[in-house]
Amino acid sequence: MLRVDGVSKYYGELKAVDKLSFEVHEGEIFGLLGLNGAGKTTTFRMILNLFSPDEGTVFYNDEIIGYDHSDEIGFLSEERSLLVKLTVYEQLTYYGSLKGMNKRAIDKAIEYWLQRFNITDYKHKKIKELSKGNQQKIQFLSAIIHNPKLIILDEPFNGLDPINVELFKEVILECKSKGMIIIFSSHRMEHVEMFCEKLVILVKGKSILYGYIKDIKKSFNQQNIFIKGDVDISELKKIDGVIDVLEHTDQVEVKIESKDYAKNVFKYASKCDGITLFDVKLPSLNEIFVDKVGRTYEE
Amino acid sequence: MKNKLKFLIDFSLGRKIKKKSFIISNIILLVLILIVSNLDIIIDSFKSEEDKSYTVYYQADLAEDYFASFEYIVENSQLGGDLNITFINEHYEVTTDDGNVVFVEITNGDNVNAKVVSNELISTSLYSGIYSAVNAIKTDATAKQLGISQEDVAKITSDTSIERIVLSGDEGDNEIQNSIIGGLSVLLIFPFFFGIIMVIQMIGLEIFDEKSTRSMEVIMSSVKPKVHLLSKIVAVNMFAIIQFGLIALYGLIGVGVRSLTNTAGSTFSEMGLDLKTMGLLDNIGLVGVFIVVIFILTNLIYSLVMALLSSTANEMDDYQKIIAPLMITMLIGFYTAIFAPLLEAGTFARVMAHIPFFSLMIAPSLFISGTFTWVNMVIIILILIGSVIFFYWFGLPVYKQSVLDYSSDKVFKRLFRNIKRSQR
Repeated sequence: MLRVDGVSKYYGELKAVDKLSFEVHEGEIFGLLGLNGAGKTTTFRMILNLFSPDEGTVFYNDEIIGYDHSDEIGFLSEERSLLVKLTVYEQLTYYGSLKGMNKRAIDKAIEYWLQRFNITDYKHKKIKELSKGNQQKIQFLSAIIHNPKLIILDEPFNGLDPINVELFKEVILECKSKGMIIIFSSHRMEHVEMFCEKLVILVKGKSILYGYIKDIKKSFNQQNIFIKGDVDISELKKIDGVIDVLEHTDQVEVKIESKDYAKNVFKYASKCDGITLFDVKLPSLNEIFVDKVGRTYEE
Repeated sequence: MKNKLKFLIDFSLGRKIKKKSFIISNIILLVLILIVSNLDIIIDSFKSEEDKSYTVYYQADLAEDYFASFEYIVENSQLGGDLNITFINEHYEVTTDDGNVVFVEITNGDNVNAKVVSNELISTSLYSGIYSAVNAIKTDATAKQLGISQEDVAKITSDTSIERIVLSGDEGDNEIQNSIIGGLSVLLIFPFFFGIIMVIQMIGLEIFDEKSTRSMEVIMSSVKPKVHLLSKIVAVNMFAIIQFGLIALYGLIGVGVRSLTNTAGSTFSEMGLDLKTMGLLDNIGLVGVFIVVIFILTNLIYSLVMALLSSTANEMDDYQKIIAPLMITMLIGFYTAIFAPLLEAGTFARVMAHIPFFSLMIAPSLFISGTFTWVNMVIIILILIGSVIFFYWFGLPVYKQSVLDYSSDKVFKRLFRNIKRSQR
């Protein structure tokens, strides 16, 4: 289990991370979200033991995290972090060895993963000769080649086409099923929603939302109603409790303050012709993020 | 961590040695050294047998003929000495059709004069022989004309013997000795100076390469900054040792090849004899030990400072700016070393020798000249050891901060900020 316990980090006068706490258990994918400069990278660096927190402690399996645990941690950084003059084989060997693997184990892992990611032909090509997508694959493999128990994935889908995104998802879910602790960061909320059970949202280094996604969604009052049929948008907007109405190609989305107001909208819709859909849904993570982060910034 | 240190050293060293550029440059070096050490033999090998044969006509308008003396001196005073010369004692008119034909005419007017006529330039070796012979004949002929003995002429023409007395009793102030030491120092400094430049450039570029490609986060999350820093310094220095070892080996091969021609090393032997006569080689073993120890320590200081500076750079522009002060410091040391003989072992040179960045360039020559005793050298070594400890102790926390600092501030601002942060 990874436990971040009240950690703070200062850069001079700036408080990059402010008393942040969260826990991630084996087999969980945890979302660490926030705008640029929210403190995500600093948090990662503290987990990676690159920085010591000024306050608080990071625990891994109830021990203070340190270089003794480094072989159990994998890290995929948002930026491209490959030695571009090396070949794919040299790069993976380099990172594998840094994680304490022996040559035999590295060779075996390289064979397996290159085949799995359909890049066996690139084994002896230099990194700088690869496409963006293939470089991202190598970066991802560098993070998981040593079969870590804790993986930090910062924007793992950068530069990938939809087919490779699916391949990555498959491997990430496989890692989860093996009981790995996965910390995931992305600006793409649909990815976070797809993977994570739990998350924390950071604003200016502070946690403004933390918990299981299903609980967060439940606690968020605002809901969305999707209607298909001949409805008058101006009439919908006049209904009590309606915050906004969005017109999509073949349906309208009505945002209401809470589910208590759904009956008012239903009452109106039932009077309209050709209604084929009336669906009340919990808000998306993206809406929650925009609402919470936007409000905090305004404050 | 020990295994990781070993891996990092092997990896870094392996990358350099397996590079095509390393192999190609070493082949070129070997060929160049072989050529340079055997240049005269190579040039001679291009000469045809005909080129080595000369006919020398001789005519003298003197009381005595001197032909036999002329022949003897020319034959025995050639440098290299493998020319085939035919001597003929008669007048000859050299024409433009003549090949290797020389006419030497010695006339006696107000003074003994000589004329050397040939169609083309002749061998330097032959000309030097003719020059020596003509001068010897002139001395003897003049002595006889004036009615004085050869010994008296020798007294007039020989070098003056100077007995040098220095009232201050400073044994180091022998001007000739000092000028030789000056030359010797420059010879000694060159390989060390370029060795350090090569080492620190490689350390700087390796660290910069890993930082600029953003690999540093991944690397530093796996190994301690101390291990990373040491691996760079050790690997690069091992590479430098291998490279210098190879150059020394190529030099030995060059000398070996030359020795097969039986003319090797005569100049070096003579030079060694001169240095020995002056007593400059009396402490050669001790000098060697001091130089090696001071070189290792100075190299460590420069390596640590370079690692610290290059860890701050995010872009090539930053890198060039940040290493400039170190390069300027090295140049100051280099020029101080070159001009040290002119400083006449004064206070400036003595002080500079105690500054860790300059000790290597100045202290050994002061020790050879006798200005410094072994006590001075030990003090300098202690200062250097202290400096290595200081730069390691001071630099490591700064290095740890800097390698992960990707902020967009100006590079020197970033450096000073990281120094400040690392002291907390």
